[in-house]
Formats: sequence, C-alpha cells, structure tokens
Amino acid sequence: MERLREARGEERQATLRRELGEVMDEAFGIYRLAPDMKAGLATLTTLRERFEKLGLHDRARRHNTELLTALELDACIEVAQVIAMASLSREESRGAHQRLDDFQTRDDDRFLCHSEVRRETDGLTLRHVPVQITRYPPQARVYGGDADA
Amino acid sequence: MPDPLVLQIERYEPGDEATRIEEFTLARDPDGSLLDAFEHIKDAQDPSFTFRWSCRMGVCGSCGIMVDGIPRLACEVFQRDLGPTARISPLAHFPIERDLIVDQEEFLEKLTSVEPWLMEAGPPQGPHDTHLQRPAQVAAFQRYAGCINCMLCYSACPQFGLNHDFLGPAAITLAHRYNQDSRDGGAAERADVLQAEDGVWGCTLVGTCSVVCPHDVDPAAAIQQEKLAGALDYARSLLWPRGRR
Repeated sequence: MERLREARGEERQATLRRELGEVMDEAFGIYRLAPDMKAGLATLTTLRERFEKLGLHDRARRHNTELLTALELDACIEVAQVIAMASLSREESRGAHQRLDDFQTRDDDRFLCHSEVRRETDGLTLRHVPVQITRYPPQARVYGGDADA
Repeated sequence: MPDPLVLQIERYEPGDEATRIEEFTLARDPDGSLLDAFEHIKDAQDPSFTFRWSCRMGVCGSCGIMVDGIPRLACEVFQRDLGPTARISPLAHFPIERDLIVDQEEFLEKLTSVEPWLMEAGPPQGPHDTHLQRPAQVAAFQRYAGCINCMLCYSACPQFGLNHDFLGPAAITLAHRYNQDSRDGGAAERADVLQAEDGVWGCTLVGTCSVVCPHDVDPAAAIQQEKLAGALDYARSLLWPRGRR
C-alpha cells in the first residue's frame, strides 16, 4: 500500500477503471465469442501493465478515497483476468457463460469441472478440477412450454 | 457548455482553521445524480475531493449531505432537478473529518445506548425454535425497522442542533422498533434511557425528521408513541405503586 500511495506515474485510476468496465462489458457479458474474449484478455494484460504506471494525486493520509479506489482497482484487474482466462478455456456453454460461437451446448464430458486459477511467481495459471456431484446431477434447464413437453 | 451545473462545495482538510467554499462547473447530465456529479469531479477535476458513498441507489445511507441547506442522500438528488447552482456542504450538526465526511461516533453511541437487540419475551413457540408472529404483529414494528442509519434526521432536528445530548430520532425509533416487536420483552430495560430528559422528552414535535427521512420511517411518530408509553407507565406507577408495566 505504501508503494501505491507514492505512485507518481502518468496513468489515472479513473481512466483505467472506466476502461476495465468497458472491456468486461464488451467481451465477458453473458453472450460470448472467442475472438472478442481473446482481444479482451489482451486488453486486460495491457491494463495490468498500465496499472504499474499509475499516478495518484491525493496526498492525504486520512480519508484518501483515491488510494482506496486504486487498491480496489488492483484487485478488480486481477479478478477480471481470472474471469477472462476461465471463460476462454471453457469451450462449452453453461449457465451465465453462453457462447455464440462453436461451443453453444453444454459438454459434461469435457467441462463438468471447476476452473481454478492460481497466482504463481511467473503469473496466473489455470487448471480444471472435476466436479463432485453429490445431490443434483446436471440437467438442461427448461421453462414454460418446453418443461411441459 | 450548453447547460452547466455549478456546485459550490464546502471543503475541509484536517488541520484547517475553517472550511472554504470551492466552485466546480460540469456539464449537467440529465440522467445523472448528484453522486454521479461528485464522481465526475473527483475523476476529472480534483482527485482530493472526498465523500462517502456505497450503494448509489438509496438503500445504504452512506452519502448523506446538505443540498442548499436540506439534508439529502446525494444518490437520490438528480442533476436535472437542481438550479443553475447548488450549495453542497457536509451533514449539519456533526463534526467534519474531511470535505463531506462527518464524524459518526456520537450517532453510533446513541444507537447502542438503547440496547437495540431482541430481548426475548418468552421461549420460542414455533417449529425449529422459531417465534411465531401474525401479519398484524409484524406490522406493529415493521415501518420503524426500515431505518438505514443515514443521519439525515439528526441534521434536520433543531433540538439536536442545540443539544447534542438529545437521544435523537433514529435512536428513539430503533428502541421503539424493539419495544413494538411482540417477540421482545425489553421495554422496561430501555425505559431509563428513553424516558430521560434528553431521551424522548427532548423532542418538541418539530417533525422535520420525518420530512427528510428517505425511507418514510416516520421517526416523529415513533418518538410521540414512546412519549405516550412513558406517560402511561408513569400514571400506572402512581395508581399501582408496587406493580410495574
């Protein structure tokens, strides 16, 4: 936090925050496409690099909400990268992750799994962990007329 | 700029002798709230401008401020409803910490002083150790449970302005919320604090607390109901000296 407090770079947290919101809205909403997600992940990598060149302007040591927002932004960028990696690697559609490209259906054979991302010394690494079904087996969610059929 | 909004904001840094007024001009956003304007000023004009906020939708009670002398939630004031200029200052009657942030300590102590927790009147009568209540019993306290602790009522109350020992609208309403709850038996326990001279009897029925309340809790009603309860209790104690409520 002390390092962040002394940040004197060119980038402004307000700009990075806005751009983060825009890329997540565009590339990682409910309906997703592979090329958009790939471009989105690249943008997030750039945002992470730009964050390292952040400059803060409020020098106060009490009630410094500019610093607080920058700390939250740091965490938000990382979480966004995790979301991006997990979404790209999930080559199926399931729940709020609906792909309009080659992977429009649920694929329990390959993707009945949790996406786990860890931060290691050389960056973020992802792996898939099989799901333990205990009570509710996966099934298609149907409503209205389809459910009556 | 076709339709500018000019905000005259009372600013303060810890250690300053006094507050100062600083003027900010921005393009008026017809869909934006005053909180949106604050965010714009902080992001684009002065990153040191500081204010509290959280939900931005009128449910958390964080963003209380004075707008042209009236206590409001910044997220519930719309830029389209403001005139060419507006005076913005921190919530009245509270010490200022920085810019629009006030010291809430006193307020929080008043809330705690009324012992705002359920003191069970009797054992649970329902299944799985639950208490049962009919809709009418819930209705008896539900309105008073709607307080979001935004402190606007304390800024609106002239009695609190004159005397900080007055328990105040939100704290009394919170006590009333429990006293009215059929599951609770703690009214006698809360009586000393409520019926003190700086308790309910510090209220002179001005009523502006209920006018400014953003959640229609009607603290003024709660206070008068507790005055009635206290008066009846006193009368009973004269007629039946040994038995209490």
